Amino acid sequence: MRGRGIIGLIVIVVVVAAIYGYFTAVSPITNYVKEGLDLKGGVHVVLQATKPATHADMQKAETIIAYRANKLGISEPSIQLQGSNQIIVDLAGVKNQQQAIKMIGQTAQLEFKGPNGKVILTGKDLTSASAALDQSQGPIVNLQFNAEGTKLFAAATKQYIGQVISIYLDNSLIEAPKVDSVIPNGQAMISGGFSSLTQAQQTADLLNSGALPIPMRIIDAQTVSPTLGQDSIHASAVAILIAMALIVLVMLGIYRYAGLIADIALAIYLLLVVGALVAFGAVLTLPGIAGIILSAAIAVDANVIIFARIRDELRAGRTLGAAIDHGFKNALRAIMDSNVSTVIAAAVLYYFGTGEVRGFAVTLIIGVLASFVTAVGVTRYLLRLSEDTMLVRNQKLFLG
Amino acid sequence: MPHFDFIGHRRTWFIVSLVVLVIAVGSLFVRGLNLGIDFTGGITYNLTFQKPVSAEQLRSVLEKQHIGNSVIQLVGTETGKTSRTVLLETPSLTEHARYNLQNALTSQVGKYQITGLNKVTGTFSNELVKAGILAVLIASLAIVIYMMIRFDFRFALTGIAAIFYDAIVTIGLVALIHFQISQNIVPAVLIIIGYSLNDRIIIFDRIRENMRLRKRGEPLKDLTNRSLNQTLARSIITAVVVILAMLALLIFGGATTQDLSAAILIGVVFGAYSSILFASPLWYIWVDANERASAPAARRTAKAER
Repeated sequence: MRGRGIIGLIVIVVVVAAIYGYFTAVSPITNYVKEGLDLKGGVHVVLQATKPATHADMQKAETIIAYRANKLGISEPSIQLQGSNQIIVDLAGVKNQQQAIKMIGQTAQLEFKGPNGKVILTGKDLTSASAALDQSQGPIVNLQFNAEGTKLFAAATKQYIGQVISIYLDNSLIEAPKVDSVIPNGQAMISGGFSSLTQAQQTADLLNSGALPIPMRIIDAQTVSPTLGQDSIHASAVAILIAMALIVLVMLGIYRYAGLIADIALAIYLLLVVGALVAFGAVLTLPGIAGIILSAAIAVDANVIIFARIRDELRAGRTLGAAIDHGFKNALRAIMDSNVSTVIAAAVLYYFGTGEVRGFAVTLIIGVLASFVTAVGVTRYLLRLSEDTMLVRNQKLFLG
Repeated sequence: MPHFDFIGHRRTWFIVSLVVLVIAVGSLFVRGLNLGIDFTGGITYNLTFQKPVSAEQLRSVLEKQHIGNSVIQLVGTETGKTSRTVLLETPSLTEHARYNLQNALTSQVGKYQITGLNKVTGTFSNELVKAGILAVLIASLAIVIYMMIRFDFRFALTGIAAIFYDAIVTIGLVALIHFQISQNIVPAVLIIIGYSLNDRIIIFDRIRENMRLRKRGEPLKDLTNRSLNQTLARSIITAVVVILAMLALLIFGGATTQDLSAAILIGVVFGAYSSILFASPLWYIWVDANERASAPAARRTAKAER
């Protein structure tokens, strides 16, 4: 028992040192956790369908907008359906507001029309679009049609040879080239109306994303500055460090050795929360931080409840080992009920809430799960281990 | 274990709770909430200074002009500390206040040019608030159902009543001290509700446990008092730890998060208070009335005890 305990303790010292090293050397919170619109600033756009839309239409539009946002270099856009016909798009960290808004809201309906105005092909018949420069260094967009489109295009070029085929994007004419020969390979090129390669690339991206299933109008668009300016973020970080130091000291002061164990469990809790945020690619917002603060309070409370119960058992005359076991058993029911009801409430908030509330719900769920694992798992394991090694025989020193 | 007679003084505590509630709701109606830029809109300035300036310099001027809740953003900063280009978001200002601010910036920070001036509308709409409240109500219903399953309907209803009590009192007291609130009020209220829920369940768990192990004839009053005294150390320690942490955020966290920390601080204090001195006595009265109604014999002993 003693040998196992000592190895365990060594492992823990290493783990804690690694956590400390990781946080100081890598600073994952500033480097890896994605910050939301309120922390970083960016663009907030609300789109509304201009005609009645089905839920499937809206979901498709959502996917397409997400694709476009990614093309803008926004790795974590927040895109949400609101009501039956609105989509809220938050693009954190976006630099060029005008371009972003244009790209997000454009329908991007591509149409090839014959001389008689009849539609030959649409964007649906495309496999891919890509931007390039032609021989004279003019920006162009190359199109590749799918099997169906290739057939249609071949037939059309055959039918209208010597005539003009017009290319429209969202009902505005881009180009009207004359058909010189039959094109059987399903390749076409748009060369008109691009002022730069970047613009051609943007059009290619739009075509690749597909057309929005229903035309949408931008009903609200605004540049959002971070709620917390640079100076406030610095102040908040300092404040959080001071708060954490206070928690560590108070727990040590009240519970001595057990307090140290609680502090270790809390450090692991923090690591789990940050790890989960990075792993799920969750976007950290101010309400999100609030969720972490609440779950941290719940984690501290769980440790306090456990220690209070163990003290009860010691007072009732049990040995340390038995007191730890019984204390945990009694504390577990209260902690479970509290955690489960919190997670249920958070899940409901996530399901029914909007952006703000959702950010809170996500980190709260992550935080409560991490709190449960560390308070019940880590704290219990460390207490048992310490008791096995008989590292601290003095009860006063063990639990204050 | 301490031996406070919480339940014996329940009338006093109900009066205290009621007075606080009246003050809170009264402030909400009479004084109203002091709404910030997020609700009311404001002005954004784009400023270009001749020399690089720091956020601290700007902050101190803004605080002297009583608009410390403004957002300061250094644009295109390389060091992260100083910049010539600054984005400033202030609340709506009168012509006079704007004149004062612009003069103060020149004299205390340095010469600058205004490259942009925009009025902004509030980002926080009534609809968002309504949607948030609806989500909280549905979540409360879920909590009630869960507590009815794990506890019983009396625990569930007194518990949720006390949670709403905490939330309303906090918002009311925020109105009373007239702290200017931003959209931070949403996460603050969510934290308070969550904290309050946790606190209620921990204390009710002990009452539930003691009810199961109740000896025949043990008066409900003694049992409830015992449960509260058994959990008192935990209640105080947890509250103290959280209050200390929130004080640190309030004191060192800077102007833009002050409303958040202040609201949470009030909420935690009332969360601890209402678990012991509001929710539990409320539960006691209800259950006690039920027990008296179903057991006439118990009525006599209860009367004699008083």
